This record gives sequence, C-alpha cells and structure tokens, in this order.
Amino acid sequence: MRKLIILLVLASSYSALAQKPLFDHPIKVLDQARFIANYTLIFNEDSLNLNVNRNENFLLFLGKEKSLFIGRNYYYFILEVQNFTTREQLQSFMYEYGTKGESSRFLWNFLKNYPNGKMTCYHHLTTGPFLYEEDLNLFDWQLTDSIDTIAGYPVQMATTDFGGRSWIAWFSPEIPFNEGPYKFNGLPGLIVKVYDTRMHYVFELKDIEKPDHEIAIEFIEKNYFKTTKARFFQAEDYERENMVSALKAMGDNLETQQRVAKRMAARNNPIELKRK
Amino acid sequence: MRYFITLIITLFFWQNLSGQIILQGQLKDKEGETLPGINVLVYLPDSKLMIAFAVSDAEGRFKTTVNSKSDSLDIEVSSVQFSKVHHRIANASQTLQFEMEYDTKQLETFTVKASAIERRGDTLSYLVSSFAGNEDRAIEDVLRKMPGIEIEDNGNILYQGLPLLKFYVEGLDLMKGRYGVISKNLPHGTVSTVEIMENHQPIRILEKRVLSQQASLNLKLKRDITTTGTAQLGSGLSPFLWDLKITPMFFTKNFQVVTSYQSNNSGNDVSQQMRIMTLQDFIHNADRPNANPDMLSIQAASLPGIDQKRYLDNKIHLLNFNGLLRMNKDFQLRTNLYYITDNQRQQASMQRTLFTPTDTLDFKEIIDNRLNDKYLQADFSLSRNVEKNYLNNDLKIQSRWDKRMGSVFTDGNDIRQSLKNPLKLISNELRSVNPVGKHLVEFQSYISYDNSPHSLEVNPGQFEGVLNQDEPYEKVLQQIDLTRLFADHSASFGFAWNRFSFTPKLGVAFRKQTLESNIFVTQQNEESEAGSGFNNKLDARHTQAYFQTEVEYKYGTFSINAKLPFSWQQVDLNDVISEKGQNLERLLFDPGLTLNYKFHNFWTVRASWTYANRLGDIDRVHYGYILKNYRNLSQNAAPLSETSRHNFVSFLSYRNPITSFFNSISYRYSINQSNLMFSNFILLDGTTILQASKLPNTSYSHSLNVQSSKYFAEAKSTISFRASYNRNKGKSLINETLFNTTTQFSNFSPSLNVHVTEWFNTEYELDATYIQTFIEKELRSKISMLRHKFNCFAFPTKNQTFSLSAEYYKLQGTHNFFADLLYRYTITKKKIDLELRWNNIFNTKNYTSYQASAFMVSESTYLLRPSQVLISVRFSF
Repeated sequence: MRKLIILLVLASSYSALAQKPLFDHPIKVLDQARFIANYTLIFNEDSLNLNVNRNENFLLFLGKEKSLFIGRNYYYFILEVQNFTTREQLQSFMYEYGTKGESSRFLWNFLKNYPNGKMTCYHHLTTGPFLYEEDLNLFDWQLTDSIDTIAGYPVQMATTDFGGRSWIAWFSPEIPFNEGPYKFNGLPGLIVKVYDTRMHYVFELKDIEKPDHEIAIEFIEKNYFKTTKARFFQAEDYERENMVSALKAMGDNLETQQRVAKRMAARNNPIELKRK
Repeated sequence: MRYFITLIITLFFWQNLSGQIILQGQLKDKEGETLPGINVLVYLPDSKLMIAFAVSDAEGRFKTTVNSKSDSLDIEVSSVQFSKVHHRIANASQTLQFEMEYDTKQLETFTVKASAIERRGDTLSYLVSSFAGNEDRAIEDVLRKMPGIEIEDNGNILYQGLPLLKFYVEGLDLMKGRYGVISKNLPHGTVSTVEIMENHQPIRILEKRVLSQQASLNLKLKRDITTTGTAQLGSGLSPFLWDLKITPMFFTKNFQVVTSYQSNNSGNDVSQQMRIMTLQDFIHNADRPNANPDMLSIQAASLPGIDQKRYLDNKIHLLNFNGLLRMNKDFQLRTNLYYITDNQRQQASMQRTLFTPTDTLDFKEIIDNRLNDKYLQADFSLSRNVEKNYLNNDLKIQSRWDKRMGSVFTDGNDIRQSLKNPLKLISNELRSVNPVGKHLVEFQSYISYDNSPHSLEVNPGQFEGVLNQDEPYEKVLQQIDLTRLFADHSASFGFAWNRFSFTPKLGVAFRKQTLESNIFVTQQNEESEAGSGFNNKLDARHTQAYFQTEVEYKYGTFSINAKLPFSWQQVDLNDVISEKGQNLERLLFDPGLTLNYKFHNFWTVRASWTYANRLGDIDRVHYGYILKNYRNLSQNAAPLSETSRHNFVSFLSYRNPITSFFNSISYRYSINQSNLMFSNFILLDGTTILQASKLPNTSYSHSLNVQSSKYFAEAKSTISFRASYNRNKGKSLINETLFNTTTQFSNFSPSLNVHVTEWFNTEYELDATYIQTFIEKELRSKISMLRHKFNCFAFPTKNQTFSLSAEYYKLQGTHNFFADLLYRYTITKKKIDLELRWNNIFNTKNYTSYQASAFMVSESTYLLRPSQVLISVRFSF
C-alpha cells in the first residue's frame, strides 16, 4: 500500500507541468489574418427536391498575401479538438457528439496563394483527409456593365464558367482584396456575392470584421492523402456510392443503412459538377 | 532584353488607335521591392463602371486589354496596405510604372464591424407565431422553417448541420437524447419562442475549459401548464396481434412529465429501451458485481442469432414515467420509473453431442418454457451544475419477481422445473468534478446492496444416486439466499509532459457477501434435507486497492501507449458448515503495450501485447453442492481461480479511399493459464456433476481475420469478403479422463452490394461456416452451414419506404427459407405514419443454429413466430 502512495506522489508531481495537446501535428504559420469576412452559403445538394435549402456559415481569413476559407463550425471544431489533452476527452467528445452525425456538411478549407501562385485544397471525408493543389489563376472573369449595392458595398458584376456551372459574381472595388469564397479569386475587389446561374450554390457576404488581435493563417502538417483534384473527386464519389456497404461492414443495422442511403441520394448536385 | 521587347510591343500598339489597347506595367514600393497581388482597375472617365482590371503577379507586373472609344481612361491602383493611386491616362497602349506608398489608415476605408469571432455563446430568439403556417401542427413543423434548422427522418434536429447538444423545455432537459417525443408532438401553439444557444456547454465547470461548437435549443411555453401526447395503434393477424403505445405529456416551468404505456404481443421487446447503455456503463460494469447473479436456471435453448421479432413469443405491458423537477437555481431532480410485466413462451429442441476419447454421448431435449417476469425500476438523479463544481448523484432501486416454469422431455421422461428468482437491488452512484489548481479532478463513488433469495424445484427428483441413495423420488428443491454489498471509490485526472501524456486513477473497492443454500428432497410427501455436503453458509470478502496509469508517447504518425495497472487484492472466504475457507493476498501487475504506425498514406500497422492476471469471481465459489439446473449439480471447493493470459495481436491494413479498395488482416495469439480445471461426471441420462479441482493447465488460441472490399464505379457495385479462422486447443476432464481437445471454426463470407439507382439498393451475401472438433487429434465432428441472405430497400418518393429481406439456408441436409416485407407511407400534411409489416411470408416453422465448445456440439432448433401481417398507424393528439 505504501508503494502505491509513493507512486501516486511521484505521478502527481508531474501534474504541475503544462498540459500537452493530444494532436500536436507540426503547424506552419503562413500569414496573419487582419480581416475576417463572414459568408453564408445557401445550397441545395438535391436537385430532385429543390425547395429544401440548407445553409452554412463560412469564414474567409484575409492575410497580407494568403487567405484561408473554412466552415465556421469546422473552424471551431478544429480549435476544440486542439484543446484536448487526453484520449478520454476526445473519446467522450466523439462518442457524445460524433456518433450522432456529421459535424458540418463541408469539411473543407482552401488556402490561397500557398504555395505561391497555387491554392492548397483540403477536404475531409469519412475515409480520411485529402489534399490537392490547384492553380490560383483558375478563373477567366468577364466584366459586365451591371453595378449595384450589396450589404452596403457598391458592387459590379462579373461572370465566369467553372466546374461545369456558369457563375455570377458581384465584387466590390471598395474592398481592395482579390479574394472570395470557396476557390473564387482574381477579381479587383472582394467578392460580396457569387452564385451559379441555377442558384444551387449562393455565397453571400454578411459582414467583415477586424479581430482585435492577429489570428494566424496556418497549415497543419497532417498525414494527408496527397492527390490530384480528379482523383479526389473520384474518392468523394466512391465514398458516396459505397456508403451503404461501408456502414454494413462497420456493423450498422439495416435501419441506419436506409437512413444514410436516403441522405446520400439527396447529395446528387455537388458544387463542381465536372468531376474529371 | 525584356525591356527591349516591351518597348517594341508598346510602339506597335501605340499606332493602333482603332479599338483595343493594352495597358501594362509594374508596381513597386519606395524601396524598389516589387508588389504582387495588387488590384489595378480601369474605369471610363468620371464613371463608376469598371471596364478592365488586372492583378499584379509575383514580380509585381500587370497587363490588361481595354476596348473603349473614350479619349481617356481613369486608372486606379488599390490594396489594403497602400494608399490608393488615381491617374487619368490617354486611351492608348502604354507601359506604366507605379510607386506605392504604405498607408495603414487605408484599412478603414470600408465598413468593418466589431469582431464576432471573439463573441461566442450567442442566443438567438425566434417568435414561433411568425414562422407558423396553417398546415403546421407540431413544433417540429415550425422548427423546420427556422434558419439553420433541419430535421432528419428519425427526428434528430440539426442546427447548421450539427446535431443539437441539448433540447430543453423551459431550460429543463427531461428526455435526454430522446427529445423526438416532445418535438414531434408538442403543438406549436403552446410555444411562444424558440431560443437557440450557439456554442453551448451544458456542464458549467467546463465552460471556460472545453469549447463547444454545438448548439442547444430551448422552448419557452406560452402558458404555465401544457398537456399533449401521441399514440401509435397497430393490429394484425394471426393470431390476433396488437401493438400499442400511448404517450401523454405535461409541462410547467418547474415540473415536467412524459409518461408512456406500451403493450404488444407482436414480438417487440419494448423493455430494451430502458437498457440503453453508454460507453461509460460498459467500462464501469466490468468491475462491479454481476447485476443478475442468476445462480439457478431452468433449462433453455440458446437463442438463434436472428432478429428477435422473428421468434419472440411475448405479451408485454410497460409503464414508464419520466419526471423532472427544478428545485432551485442550481439543483435538479429527475425521476424515471419503469414497471414491466411480460409473459413469454419459448419452444425449442436441443441435441447435445459430447465427446470423450472412447465415447460419443448424445442427448436430446424438447423444451417448453413459460416465463412470467415482473420488474420495477426507479431512478432518482440529483444534479448540481455550477461554475465551481459539477455533481451528479444517481440512486437506483430495482425489484424483480420472476416466475419461470419449464418442461423438458428427454428420453421418455417429462421433467418439470419451477424457478422463482426475485431480486432486490439498491445502488448509489456519485460523480463529481472539481478544480484542483489548474486541473480537473473527477471523484467517483459507487455503492450497491442486493439480495436474491432464489429457489428451483425439479419434479421428479434428479441425481437420485447422490441425493437419495439411488431411489427415485418425487421432487428436489434448491434454495439459495445471496446478499452482497459492494463499494468502489476512485479519483482520476490527466496531465502531460513533453511528448508523453499521463492519466492516473486511484481507487479502493470493497465487497462483502454471504451465500446460504440448502437442498431438500421430497419422497412420499415428506421433505428432508439432503445433507451437509449440499448446504452452504459462506462469508466472502474481497478488498482491492488499485492504481492505474496510462502513458502515451506520440511522434508524428507513430505512437506507443502503455497501460500500467497495479492492484493489491485480498480475498477471505469462510464456510461455517464445512469449516472450510481460504485467504489470499496478491499484488497484481497487468501491463499492456500498443504500438501504432501509419505510413505511405494508405498503410497502418499495429502490434500489441497484454498480460492480465485475474482472480476468480467470489460468486462462483461454494464448498457444498448446488443444483444449478435440473441436470447440473456443481461444487467449487477448490482455491479461488487464478488465471493469467498473454495476448498478442498484430494488425496490418491497406485502405485506399481514392480507388475505394480496403483491406485488412489481423492475427491474435493467446496463452491462458489457469490453476483450476472443472471435472465433469456425465451420468447416463445426461445429468452432470461439476467439480472444480486444482489442476494447473494451459490453453492456446489462434485467430486470423481477413477483410477486403472494392467498389467498382462502372457497375455501381461493391464486392467484399470476410474470412476468419479460429483454433482453440486445451484440455478437458470428463468422467475422470483427461484428454486434449481442439476446436476449429472457419468462416468465409463474400458479398455483393449493387447501388442500382440513387433510391434502390440490393445486397446479396453468402455465409459459409465449417466447425470441426478433434479429441486427442482425432476428428470427431464436422458441421457445415451455408446461408444465403438477400436484402433490398427502395424509397421511390420521399414519403415511401419499401424493404424486403430474405434468407435461405442449408445445414446438415435440411433447408429453410424465410422473408420479411415492410412498407411505410407518411401522410406528410397530417403527420400520420402508416406502416405495413409482413413477417415470415413463407410461414417457416423453425430455425436451427449450432454452438461448439471444447468437447460438445449442440444443435438448437427454435420455434419461430408464424406468418403474420401487422398494420399500424401513428398520430398525435
């Protein structure tokens, strides 16, 4: 018994030391965000049932040279998980919340101008974390002569074709960035609103905020599946089509399989229609 | 050279005044550093209409084409960190150089609001009346229209795509996760506002330590008292079937109640709802005394491994009351009461084959059991949730009055058994989280007391050789009385140092129990005691102090985890009648080590070793004989069992999600050592006398599992297979012969899943099993089973679901086929669900399954429910 007490005293003497996070992937600080643009996406992933619209909030961290576009909930999720110091915390967190469903519909982020002249696209699927690069200079914007005011900012309209959809963007020359939501960039002013001509994906700026301290734009060096865009789309499509057998292999019952099959069937309208 | 070319191009376009011109140039700061990513905007003079633009590249260069008839153009260069540059230029191709000046004030030229990213825990309020429409009934219909809220088919509510953390009514969380009962039934007219609390952390002590990204929802009611409810009515043939569920509800600001009455005879075991266990429950229950110390039983057949609805013959009534009372600002009291009565009938036949080196013994039993279960459970939970402390105390009272009658027909004999196994249990569990310095320390306390006075009567009397000098007699009665007290207290916390993290836990557990038992023999209406060898009066004590530490080391994708549990254990057993007993003291160390490494994206390798020492359960020691069931008389007078096990596991996987090709292989090897062996004396009629004796022995087990699956996009199909092989080797002692036994299980199961359309899925699976039993290396039994399973489901429209599952199997010459059909239709506007279920379409009579152990193979044939159709309707009131 005395031995046990000694052990406990030994063990507790360490506890004065700082707590170490459970996920300590190396982090590369790329830039400092001086502004954060808040966007809302109203989207419809089910082209057979167009009256149901979902929405999700996104953050665009604007740095000096680089920017990061990420889901608001997903950003908080990452912050929270980084706080965990023990596997028990993570387990109970994942058990309590994680098993109930997905934490956010779009587990993605886009680091623009990293590496220089490119963008790093990250997507998290149930099968793992994926990374691919795209050229920053993706869009052939055509200016139009329509001007308007959105959210108090004077805007002008430009159009482009991208990923199998025709897009309409309203940008504000008054906000001197050349950034926008999702992968969109390259207009001489922040994109305030951008949508495809069928209005299946509508991104709109809510406001711009200035954080009172600088927030780092980071790249987390994880064990990614580094691939190409076409191969990522393949993995995404395969995951969707193969979900029922994946659930069965995990031991989920027929009722769960049916529910998820319904949910997967309602995801027939991805933002980028061109998959190859 | 570059400048020269630029000059030529410039000169060339200078001449072209007809339309298109090119503007190009370079941007630099005062120090001559080139500036990338800056916007260059071209306007018509004095206009807000932009006609061309460019963004400077990595070298600060820009270039744009302008197509305008205007004489001049306005050019503007803008960026966040530089002051704006304006110039009016001639509409002609030209090269421009700009020197930009840093200007921090420029940042303020567009509207910026205070940072919301720091502002968390917003509460949004929505007025229900502004969202409600004519066709809406329940609050769920209105919630569906609110921004950011979605409702899944199963009633789960999502806010911004995430499931709700808590669903409150007037700040009270009555139903825990099962809030669908409220959201689907509470009329929207009773609710005034819906509050959404973003980033909600329900445990207040964790508020500043653990961020939450999920939201909670609170319903504020209009009136002080609200009543509502829901009903589900179902009926079918044949025989006459019913399935009812009525759920009235009652809400006030400080007191809320949801009650329900459920009853059916359609094979739905509704008592499962109260047995939902969390992960924590599983971890805790391993260390606690077995909740149902069922030492006596009536003979039953093993349950078939198929959906319970196919065979359960029941008549169940369940009453449930959930109440929640807010006592003051900090304290809440929750009460959950359950009362269940159930009448079940089990009809089956069982064929047992036992092997010894010289003999094969066959016994057949036909079983007809009637169970009459009555059960009451009351949970009272008091919780305190303040910034300084989280406390939860659960008091649980359980009472059971089961009566079970069984008939066994074997070898022309009709043996009747009657079992009474009442139980009284009271337990208290306390969990408290308190801050100690920078850390949170969790204290746990669990105390339980239970009493089970059980009795088993068997008619005619068995084991006449041992119990009645070889003379047949009328009946034998086994009585036992077990009383147990258990207390477990522990404290745990977590901390880290460099790349290591530690989670220690320290605790003390104490258990004290008494077991009294007697066997009575009745001959010619005269009851007499069977004798002192058949009595027990055992006092047992088990004390343990434990210290568990888990250490983890991580580096990149490599991690090592070590579990280092120490425990000091003391067992004291003393039987007053036989004056036998034992005293044991042990310091046990059960280390475990796991290595995990991920490489080349798709590969994972894992290896682990654990060494575990266990002291046997003191419930299992009894110096006198106990008649456990009609054919099992057992005695355990040997020292307490002490087992140790080495377990080696290796695992390799290749998972490529890009090609959707997933593979894994694992191999497990374990060596089990035990100081005890159970000797079986099997009598000619199949009855068995079991005795534990001190005979150290070792058994070995190997197990190999392989899984593979590949998705073929062109065919919209997944092909997969699972294969497993198990080999268990050990020793058995039957009728005083010690011999080697080996059992082998092989299973191969390929399957095909075809995703025909978005709304139509089909699946086929083959399951082949092969069991072999070897006695002293001689093959004594082989069983092969082949099952074909087919499933398909479709949802042609959003409110219709159709599913068909069918199974065909062939084993040892017999074959069977059965199929179930389900159709569900929702009348969306009226919130009425209609369901048609046709079970066992081909009216298959029974289902056969096999089990194999070291020296025995048993075949159980279970009577299934007949073909039946059930139609049900669900609505609110």
